[in-house]
Amino acid sequence: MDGQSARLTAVHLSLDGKSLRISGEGIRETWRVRSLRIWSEGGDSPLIIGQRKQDARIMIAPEDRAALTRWLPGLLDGRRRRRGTWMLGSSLTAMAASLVGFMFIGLPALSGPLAEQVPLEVETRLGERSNAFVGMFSHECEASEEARAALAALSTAFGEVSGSEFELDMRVIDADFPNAFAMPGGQIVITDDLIELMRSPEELAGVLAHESAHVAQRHVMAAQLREMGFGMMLDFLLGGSTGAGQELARAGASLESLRHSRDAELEADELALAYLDELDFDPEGLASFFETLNAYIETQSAASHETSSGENTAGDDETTTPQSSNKADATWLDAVLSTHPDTRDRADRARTAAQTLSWSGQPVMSETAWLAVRDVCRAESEARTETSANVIERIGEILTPTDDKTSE
Amino acid sequence: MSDELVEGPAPGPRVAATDGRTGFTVLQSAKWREIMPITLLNAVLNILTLSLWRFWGRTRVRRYLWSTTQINGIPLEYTGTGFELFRSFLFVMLGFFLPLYLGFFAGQLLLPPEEFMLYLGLAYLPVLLLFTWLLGAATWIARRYRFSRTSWRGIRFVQTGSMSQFAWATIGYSLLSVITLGWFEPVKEMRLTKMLWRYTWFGDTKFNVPASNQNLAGSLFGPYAIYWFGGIIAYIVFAVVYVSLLMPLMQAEGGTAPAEITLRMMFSIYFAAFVGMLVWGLLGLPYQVALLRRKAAMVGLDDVRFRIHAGLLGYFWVVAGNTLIIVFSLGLALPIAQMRMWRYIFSKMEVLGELDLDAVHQNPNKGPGSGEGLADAFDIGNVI
Repeated sequence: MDGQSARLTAVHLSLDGKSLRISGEGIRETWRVRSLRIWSEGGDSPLIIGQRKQDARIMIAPEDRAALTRWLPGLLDGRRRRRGTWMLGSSLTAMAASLVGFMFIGLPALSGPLAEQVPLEVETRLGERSNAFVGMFSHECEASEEARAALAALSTAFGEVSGSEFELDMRVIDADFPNAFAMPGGQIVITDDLIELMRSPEELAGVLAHESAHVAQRHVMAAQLREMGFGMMLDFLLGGSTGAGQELARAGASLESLRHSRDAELEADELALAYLDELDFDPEGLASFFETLNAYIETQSAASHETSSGENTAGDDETTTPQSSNKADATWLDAVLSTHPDTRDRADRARTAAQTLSWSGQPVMSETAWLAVRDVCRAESEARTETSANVIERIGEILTPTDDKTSE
Repeated sequence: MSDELVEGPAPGPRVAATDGRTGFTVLQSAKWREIMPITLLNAVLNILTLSLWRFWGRTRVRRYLWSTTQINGIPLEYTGTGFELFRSFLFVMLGFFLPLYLGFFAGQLLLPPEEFMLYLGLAYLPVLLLFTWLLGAATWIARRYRFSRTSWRGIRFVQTGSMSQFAWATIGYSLLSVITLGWFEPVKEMRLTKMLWRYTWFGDTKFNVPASNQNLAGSLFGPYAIYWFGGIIAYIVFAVVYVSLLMPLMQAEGGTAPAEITLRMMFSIYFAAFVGMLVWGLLGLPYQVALLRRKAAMVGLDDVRFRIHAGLLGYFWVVAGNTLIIVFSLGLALPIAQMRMWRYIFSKMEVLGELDLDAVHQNPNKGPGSGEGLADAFDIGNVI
């Protein structure tokens, strides 16, 4: 096959040192052995060899193959190919390993310093967006004058002591789960359910100190950057492919990206104690809060399974949309558990550290202010509890055999 | 040292045919025992390299399948390389998706949220359009690459024609399919396939397709109707299975359901969906088979015509087996599934008519320099 036409010509081959001589009807060529390669080789099909980048081919009948292998052992005994596989396989593995290394070590290491470089107004803008997102699963409550003043005072105090470049803005929202989080741009949000759990304003101060540290250290921005970089690198590595393996890799990677923020959590705990100390607030507030939270998690983790199972029974019945808030409850709890270091440990650590600090006994806020803060979402919350009770009742109705709705 | 060896086809009917027209017989001889090592090596290396090996792995599978496909005793060659695929993937990622990503992030970071959402909303339709267009383009590019890297008797296959024309046609026909609730689908399939083969060459000899679009999909509508109504039937089956599985549980448990029941309910939803999909898949088989036959019958090369004598039972056997193979291997045994389909198609292929092969010459068009990056990004390069 001369590569010019589909014509076949029978040829004679002879080996002359480092070249293969080909002669046949109107054909006289010399191919260097080094430039030879196999173009087709599989099972009992004839072998086809040719030169790199050339169209001409020689087809070797199966019965002649053994003879040719004696001539061209380097080409035909498969050793070259196995070596190629080894080299390529190991360089690609090294490449994958360094990409992963960059994702898990380089990216987190870079995200902190990079976050410092993000202009303040950009982070503030991001904060507005997060705020809109928070609005999707909660709503803000009308706080009384007194509660607002108390929160504002804490915002200012922690803003100063943490050296935050953002003005802190602490708010209480009405949501179905106990949590506190710092958003980009200095907004700190606490859910009414979390305040409900707290036994004292000192615990509140502990939580706020911790979140202020996240803001001041720009952990929030770093986490956002890390996540963006992560998604991008993953897509690069895996391409658009969607296999089970790829999905596993994706899930594993996003879990791993959460784990690193634990360092940030511990750093925030440490800083929080320093802030409390500097403001002369009870340094045991943080430890005390962790103990409260721990007790709650222990009672809830069993209960949450029941909640989630109860909610699943409704399946995809459209009449019970409010059930999604129950789901959010369980999911959020799981999220809190996975990001935060073991609460028990944190409580112990904070307790030990707090014992080395002194406190004059100055309260965080007055008793009336604390009551006002606790009251912020009460009206909304009660209204909501009523509706959830209705939902549970409704689910019960749906599940009773006499009801026709099941067949929907 | 100088040895001597006679090579090339022994004097026989095939060589004797040099002066005239030849008929064709196709033989596919891929074997489990030979694809197994390739599959295993690919699986291991894909895991180790976090799937970066996929470009080279895919190339090996193609090389094997091509070289075990013989036409008149002469195997096909796949001359593509893993590096070509990898390089084009890099091009697409860095040249297209990276800027897109960065633009998206920059928009999120720098624009006020309302403005960003507004732009995002405004961009929605154009982006959707762009992606449909790219999907068409990717199909076209991937096919051009594969053909340009396939040769037989030293002669390359070539795909010419216009990518953008094909991409626009994909958008237009997809739109028509949506508007007609899917009833345009067979016509779309046939017309797009026709468009591709119309510009496909073996060397300097062009493949031919019917001149008119009239009745292109004609006989497909019967099987397609089964598929279309099959969708509705499958949904009803799903609902029935779902309800019949859930009813006894609900009646037994009343309002409060312990965790164990929930698992069973989750399972029953999946099971119902599975049964529904199974029914739909089965009812879709006649259409798939008809499509295969009709596409093959549409294409010719000079006086040569093609037939794929696909039958319902045989095709079912291949598809069912492949589904199980892919599911149970978590996709890692894809090459085996590809081999089974490839083997099936060639075993059912009949080539009618004759061609003067001596008159076929190389096409100066060498095809694209690199691979099918766009197709890889959209995950459509996996067909073979």
